Amino acid sequence: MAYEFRLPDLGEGLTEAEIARWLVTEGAAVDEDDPLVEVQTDKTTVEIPSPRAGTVLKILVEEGDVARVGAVIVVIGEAGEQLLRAVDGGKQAEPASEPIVAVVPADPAAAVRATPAVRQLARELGVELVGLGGSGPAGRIVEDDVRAAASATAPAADGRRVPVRGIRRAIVEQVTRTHREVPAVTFVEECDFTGADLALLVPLAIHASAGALTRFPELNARLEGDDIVLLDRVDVGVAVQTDDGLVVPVVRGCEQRSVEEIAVEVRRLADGARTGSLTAEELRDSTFTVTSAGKLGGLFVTPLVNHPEVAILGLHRIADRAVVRDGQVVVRKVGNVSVSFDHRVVDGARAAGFCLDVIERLQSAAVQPT
Amino acid sequence: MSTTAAGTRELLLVEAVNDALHVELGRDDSVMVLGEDVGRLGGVFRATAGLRDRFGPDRCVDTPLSEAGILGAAVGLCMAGWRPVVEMQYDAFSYPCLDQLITHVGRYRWRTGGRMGFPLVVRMPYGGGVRAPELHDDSPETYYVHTPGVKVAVPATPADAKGLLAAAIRDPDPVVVLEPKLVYRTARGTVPEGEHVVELGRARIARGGTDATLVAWGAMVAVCERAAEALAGEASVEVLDLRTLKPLDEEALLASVRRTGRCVVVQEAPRTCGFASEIGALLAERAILDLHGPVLRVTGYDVPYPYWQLEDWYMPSVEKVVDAVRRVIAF
Amino acid sequence: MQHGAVEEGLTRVIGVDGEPDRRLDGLDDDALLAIHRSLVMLRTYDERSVVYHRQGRIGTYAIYRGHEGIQAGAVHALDRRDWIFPSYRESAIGLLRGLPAATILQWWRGHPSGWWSPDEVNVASICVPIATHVPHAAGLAWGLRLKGSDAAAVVLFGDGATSEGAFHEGANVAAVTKAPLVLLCNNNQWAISTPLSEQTAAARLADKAVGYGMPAARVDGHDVLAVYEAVRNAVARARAGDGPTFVEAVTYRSAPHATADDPGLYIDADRVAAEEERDCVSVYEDYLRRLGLLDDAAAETVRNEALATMRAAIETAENEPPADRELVFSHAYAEPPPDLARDLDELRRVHA
Repeated sequence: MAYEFRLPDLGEGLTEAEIARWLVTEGAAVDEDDPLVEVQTDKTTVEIPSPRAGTVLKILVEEGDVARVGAVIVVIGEAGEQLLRAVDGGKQAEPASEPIVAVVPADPAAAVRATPAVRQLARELGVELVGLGGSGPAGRIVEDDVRAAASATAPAADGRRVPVRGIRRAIVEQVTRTHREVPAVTFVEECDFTGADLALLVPLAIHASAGALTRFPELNARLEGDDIVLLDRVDVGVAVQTDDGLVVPVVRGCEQRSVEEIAVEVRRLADGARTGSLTAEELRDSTFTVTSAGKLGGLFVTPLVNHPEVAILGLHRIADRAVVRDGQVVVRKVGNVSVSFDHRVVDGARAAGFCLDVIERLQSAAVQPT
Repeated sequence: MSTTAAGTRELLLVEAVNDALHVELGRDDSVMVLGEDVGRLGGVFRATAGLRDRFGPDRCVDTPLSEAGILGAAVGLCMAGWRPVVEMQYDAFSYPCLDQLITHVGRYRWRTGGRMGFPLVVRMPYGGGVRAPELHDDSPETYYVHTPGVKVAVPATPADAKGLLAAAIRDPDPVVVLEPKLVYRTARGTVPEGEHVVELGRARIARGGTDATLVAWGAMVAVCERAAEALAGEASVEVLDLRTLKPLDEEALLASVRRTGRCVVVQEAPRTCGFASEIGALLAERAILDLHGPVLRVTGYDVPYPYWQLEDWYMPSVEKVVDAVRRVIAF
Repeated sequence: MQHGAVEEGLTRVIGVDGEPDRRLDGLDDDALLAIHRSLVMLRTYDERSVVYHRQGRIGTYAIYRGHEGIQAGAVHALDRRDWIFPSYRESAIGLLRGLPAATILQWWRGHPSGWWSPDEVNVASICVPIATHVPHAAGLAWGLRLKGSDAAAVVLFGDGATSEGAFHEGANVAAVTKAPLVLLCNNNQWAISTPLSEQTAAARLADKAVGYGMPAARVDGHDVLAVYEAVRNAVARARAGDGPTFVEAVTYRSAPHATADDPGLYIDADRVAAEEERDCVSVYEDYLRRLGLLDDAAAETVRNEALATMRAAIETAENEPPADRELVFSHAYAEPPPDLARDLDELRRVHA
C-alpha cells in the first residue's frame, strides 16, 4: 500500500522548504529511518529519515524546487506497485478566491425604525411596517402605532392572502413605474373592419402599425435623458393574457415582414406565453406594443404605455353596428382603435395622424388583403 | 449579634464569612485556610478570626508574602488531598497570582483528562468606595470570569456571603469569591446558623418589578435597590442580584427581561469588556425580541481607579442608575 | 565559552580525569543495571522523538539528550510513593514510573490521549510555563507532611527557571513550611540562547539556596550516580522533617533546546563536541563495564528492547483514532455549565 510522505513542518510554522538533495532514487529500496532527503529551511539544512520501509515509487519534487509543507514529496510502497491515482506533486492550485459573503440587496424593510419587540408584534399581528407612520421619537414606530394599524385594517384573519411573486411582482413594478413617469394621453377613433379576416386581427394591426410608423417615427422611439432616440427597427410587443398575468412577447423586424409571417410568429409566441416557455430574449426590447383584449375589449380602453416605449395601439371590441354611409344607415363591423402615447415625446396631432393612418391601412386591407 | 428567628442570627457580612469558615472547617478535616495574616491576626478584616485558635496553625496558616507562591502551593495542596481556601488580602493583591490562576488553576483538571480535581477557593475583599489608597479598590471579577475552568461568586448579603462561600468550598472545581468590602461592616442581615449553602449559579430577585430590570452583583445590588426605591412613583423596577457570575443563571436573567423588556446592568469595574458587556451580548442573542430598548450599562470608567477624593465620581451612583433606567423606559 | 566556577567543586561517583570510581551503598548489581535500563530507555525515547519530528509524526519537541542521568538518577533515589514534578525538559520521566511511551508521544502530538492522572503514577502533568510548577511541588510536599505522610517530592527545573518569581516563591514557601521537597536544578548553562553568565550574577546556582535557609548540594550532572546520591540524601532529610534541599546538577546543553532551535547561532561548537565524549549514558556504561556488569551484547539487548518499545509506542499512537471533538468541552469542570452543552450542539450543527 503506497505511502505518500508529505513535507512536515520542521520548525514551528514553516510553510515551505527547498529540496536540497535526494538521498534515494526512484526504484531504490529503503529501510525505515534510512536517510531519505535533505531539506533546506530558512534556518538550516535538515536530513529527514524515511518514515517507512519499502521501494521509492515516485519522487515528486526535484532537487532545487520548493515544496509547500503538507505537499507529497515522495511515494514509498511495494516494488512494481501501480500508483492508482495522480498524486499532486507539490503544485497545489491556489483556491479560486471567492467572495465569502453574498451581496445582499438592500431590504426596504430594514430602513424601518422599530425595536425588535415592536417588529415581532407587527409580525404577529400581520401589520406591514414599511410605509407605516411612527409616533415615537424621531418617527420611530412604537407599539401603539402597530396596534392601531392592526385594528384599522382588516385583520389578517379575514380574506385570503396571496403573496406578490413572479410575474405579478414584475407587473406591479413595471406598471407602478409607468404610472409614475409617463404622462399618457389616449386618442380613439372608429375603424370599419367589414370584410377583414378577424382571425388575423392582431397581425394585421401589427403590419399596419409598422407601416404607419415609417410616417410617424416619433411613436417608435425612446426618451433617454435629454435625447429622444428614434429607433430603426420595429419590434412589436403583443400583449398576451396568461393565467399568471399579462405577458408581452416581441415580434422582431415587423417593418420587413408580411402579415402571414407576422401571424405565424404571433401564434408561436402566444402559445409559448401560455405554456410559460418563452425565453427572456423573446420578452424584451420591444419598440412599440399592440394590445387586443378581443371580445372582452370593451368600447375602448386607455392602455398604459409599455415603458420605455412611447406609444401603444389598442384594439377594442368589434361588433355589428349601425353606421351612416352615404347618408344611409347600414350595418358594418366596427371597432374602436386607440393610441395611447407619452405626451413628453409625441404630440396629440401626430398621435391622431398615426392612428388614422393605421385605421386607413386596416380598412384598405379589409377590402384588399395583401 | 442578636438572635432572631430560630436557627438564625443577625450578622455583618464579614461575620457571615467568618461563620462559614468555622462551619466548613469543622465539617470537613480536609478544608484549610491560608493567606497573609490570616492566622494570629485573624485577617486584616477579621474574616478568619478564631480559626487558628480553634483548628490550629496547620489549618489556618500564616503564609509568606507571596501571592503566586500561595496559590501555586494551593494547587499542590489539592494534589495532596486538601481543600485549600486561599485569602488574597485585597482585590488588587490577587494580580500577582493571575499567572497561577490562568495557567494552572483553570487548566489542571483538563490536563489530567478530568481525573484529578482542584477544589480550591480564592476569596478576597473587593470593590471601592472605602476611602483607601490605590489598589485597594479594584473590581477584578472579569479576569476570573474570563478564565475557563474557574467559577466566580459575588455575594451581596450576609446570608449569601456565608452560603456562597460554603458552596464554593464544597465545589469540586476552583471558585473565586469576591466579598464586597464596602459593606463588610455595614450590611447586616439574617443568617441561618450551622450549615448554610447557597447553590452556585442561582440568581436572586432582590426586588420585584415590571417596567425595567436592574442587574447587579456585590455592593452594587444595594445601589440598585436604592435607585429602584427612588423611582417608585414613576416605574416599577426589578433588581436582580446575580450572586454567581460563572456559571451565570441565564434562565433567571432571561425570565426577568422577558417580563420587563428593559435592562440596565450596573458594575463597579471599568466599562470595556466588563461583565455587563457579557450580559448585553447574552440578551442580544437570546432576548432580542423581548427588548423595548437597548441594554444600558452603568459602570466605572476606563481609567485607573482614582484617588479616593474623586472616587464618588467614578463609582456608579444612585443618580446614574436612576438616569439610565429613565432613559431606557423613555426609549 | 570558558568553563567557569560553576563546574568546579562538583561531587562525582564515577571517576573522571584519573579519579577513582566509588561504589554507593545500597545499590546492588540489579539496581545498577536497572539504572542502566532507565538511562537507555530515556535516551532511546529522545532520539526517536527527534526522528519522528523530522518525519512529521510528532510536533515541536523539547530535546533532553545529555540529561538522562539527572532524570534517572533522581527517580531511582525515590520510592514509588514519592512525587515527581517535571518541566517540559523531563517530558518522558513518567516512563520510569510505568507511564506508556504512547501516552507521552500523544502529548507531543497534541492528542488528548496525552493526558494522565498524576495520582496514578505520582508524576505531575508536564509543566510548560517555566518554574510555575515549583509552588505546586512545594504545596504538594507540604500537604503530604500535614497529612502525616513521610512521602517526599522532587521538582526538576533548569537554570533559567531560577530567575522566575515563581521559583523564588515556591522555594520560599517550601523552606518556611519545611516541605519534604528536593529542588533539583538541571543547570545545563543555557536558556535557549541565554548563557548562564547573563542569567544570573551568582557564581553558582546553589548559592541561591542560602537565601531560603536551605542546604544545597552540587553534583556533576553527567554522573547518574552522583545525582542519585545527592537526591537520596536530600530525600532522607526531607523524610526526617528537616525540610527542602537544593541540588544543582551541572551539565552542558549539547543538543538544541528544541526541534525548532538552531544553536549554531550562539553556542560553542567545540564545547558541544567535547560533551559527546562525556555523554552520561556512555560514561555510565563504561562504569558498568569496569565493574564487569555490562558487555556489548548486553548493552545491545537493552538498546533493542528500548527500540522495540518505541516502535510499538509510535504505532499505538498513530493508530489511535482522531480525538472526539467532544473532548474540547469535557473536563474543564467537574459539572459542566449548561452553555458548554449548547456550544457542543452548535459545533455539531455547523460542522455536521
